[in-house]
Amino acid sequence: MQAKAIVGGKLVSFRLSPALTRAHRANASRTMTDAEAVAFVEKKRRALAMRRAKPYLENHS
Amino acid sequence: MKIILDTCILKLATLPNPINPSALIVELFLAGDLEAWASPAMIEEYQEVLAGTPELLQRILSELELCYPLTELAVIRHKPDNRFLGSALAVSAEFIITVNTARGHFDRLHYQSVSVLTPGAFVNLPGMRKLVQKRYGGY
Repeated sequence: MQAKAIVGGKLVSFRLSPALTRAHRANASRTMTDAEAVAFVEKKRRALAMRRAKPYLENHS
Repeated sequence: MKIILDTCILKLATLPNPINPSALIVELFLAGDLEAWASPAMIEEYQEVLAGTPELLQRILSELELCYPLTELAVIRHKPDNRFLGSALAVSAEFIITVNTARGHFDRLHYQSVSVLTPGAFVNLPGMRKLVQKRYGGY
C-alpha cells in the first residue's frame, strides 16, 4: 500500500510497511483532520486518567 | 536526528488521509532514519491511542528509545503536554513534532534548544528532503 506526502513542493509516494499497511486497512475510509486527531487523543487521555482514578474514587465515594 | 512524536502524529499516521506527512515520519522512524524518544508516561499514552492497531504499536515500541526525565515541568498550560517537552529537554531532542500548536499547547516555536514543528514542516526541512529523496528516489 502507498501513501503520499508533499516534500519540496512535490508529491512523494512512499510504500507503507506491513504494520502501517494493516493500520490503514483497519481504518479504511476513515480520515481525520489535525483538530480531530488532537480531540481523539484528548479523549483517550481523559479515559486513561479516569481509569487510573477509578479505584480511588470508588474507595472515597 | 532525535525527535519526540506527539501522540496525535501516531494516530494521524494510521489513517488513510490523502496527504499524510505523519505516515512518512513514522515510516522513516521505523526504517531507523529517525531516532524517536519516549518516556514511560508517553508510552502509556501511545498504548492507549494505538490500542486498535496492536501490530503497529509493537513495531513502534520496539524501535523507540526510552528516557526517564527526572523533573516534571509546568511550562505548557495544558499539563499533559509537559511530559513531551520534559522528554525532549531530557534527551536534547532537536524537534517535537505535533499538530497541536494551539494556544496553551505547543504554542511556542522553540523551548530552549527544542523546536516545535508540524509534520508537514518537518518533512520539508532540508535534511529531511535529502533523506526522503535518498530513500524514495527522485520522486
